[in-house]
Amino acid sequence: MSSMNRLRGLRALLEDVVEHGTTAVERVHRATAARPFEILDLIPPVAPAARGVRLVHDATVAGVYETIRQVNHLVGVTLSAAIDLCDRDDGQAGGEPERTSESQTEAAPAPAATPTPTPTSEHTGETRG
Amino acid sequence: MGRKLEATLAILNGAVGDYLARTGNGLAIETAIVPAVGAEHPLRLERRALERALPGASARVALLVHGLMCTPANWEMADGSDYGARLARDLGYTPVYLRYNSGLAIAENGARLSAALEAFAAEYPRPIEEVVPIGYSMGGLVVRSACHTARLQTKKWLSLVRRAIYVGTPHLGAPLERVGRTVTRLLRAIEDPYTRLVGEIADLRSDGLKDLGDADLRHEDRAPKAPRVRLRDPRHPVPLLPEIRHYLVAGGLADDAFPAALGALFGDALVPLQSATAGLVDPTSDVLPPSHVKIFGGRSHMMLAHDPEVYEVIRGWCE
Repeated sequence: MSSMNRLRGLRALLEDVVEHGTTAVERVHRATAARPFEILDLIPPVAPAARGVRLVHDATVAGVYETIRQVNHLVGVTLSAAIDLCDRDDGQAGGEPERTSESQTEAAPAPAATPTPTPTSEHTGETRG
Repeated sequence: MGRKLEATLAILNGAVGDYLARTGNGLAIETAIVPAVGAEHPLRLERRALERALPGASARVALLVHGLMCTPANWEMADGSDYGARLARDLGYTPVYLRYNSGLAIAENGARLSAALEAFAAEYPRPIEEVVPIGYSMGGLVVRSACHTARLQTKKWLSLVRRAIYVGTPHLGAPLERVGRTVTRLLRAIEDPYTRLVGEIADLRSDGLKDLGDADLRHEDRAPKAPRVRLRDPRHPVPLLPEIRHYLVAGGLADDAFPAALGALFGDALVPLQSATAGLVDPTSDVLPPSHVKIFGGRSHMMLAHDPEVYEVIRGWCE
């Protein structure tokens, strides 16, 4: 698991949290706001005006939460591009090749790109403790 | 990778690791066998790599499997050694450690462990006489699930296991998770957007965590529990394999300052004694006679993974 993969994972997780969190809060917001509107809807003199206010309210709520989701998505895409750029720069600078440790417990074919074993990559206890 | 980052990732994986794996998130921990508690890179499961990584490999292998939200570093004792390193020093075992995403279903981790052990045993530099799995907490259930899978799939590695050691393993499930499941269900049933939201957030917890409630070792055990609200220990549908000698270590908070009755009820604070021991002990059975169970008073759940006195008992069982 490379640092860049972890960064990508963190970015994706944060984006998911904001996306799903926003949707959940929107649902609570709508459900909470619906209660007074439903009561006002039962009072004939104010019902027509309340319906109009509710339309405006619902449209505004939808717009605000959708904007949050879109900005969140935009920030996510931008961060992804920045991470990719950093990753490419590191690769061109001759950084250490990524290890393919994730597939080690599968059928375990010999990874062609595995670096020459060193005491830190296949150690027997040096890093213990 | 720093210890703190590794520990943070382990906690995150334990909480929502199934989601991370399902979405292909780079934060998801991959199943791997590592050669030491602090090892960053896993063993490559091919003979030459294992020869280099495990010089002087012994014919007896101890496999240590950590618990929920833990890492292999969880085994580390105050002096820097661990149960595996001490078994190597005292009895000549070769210790290896499983690192895995504890948020995945226990059955999934069991299947992955079984596949990893099959490859490990096939590529090990010398013939293996015995593999002794030592599972801590959820790790013990992962070991049991792996053995169950290996038996169904007639994996060769299972014949190398003649004894298994479980440390603080909730064999009959964890009441805390069952309480959490019930509360979550109640919150979601209330017709209020706020309580429902709290219930939904609580329900995000991982498959692995949910499996601890009833110690589900198979995928088919997980499905039917939705409509039930059960706080008591169930009888477990997957018996301990009779061809293996099983040894159990349980912790209990009871000591001079803590009444024995409360100690029996709360066990080690996370796993009650009934779940960690008594529910499985059968005086007439060779699989799990009372002599194969050791209860340590005055120990919390977390202490069991790195306690010198617990090690002495494990050492005796491993001789």
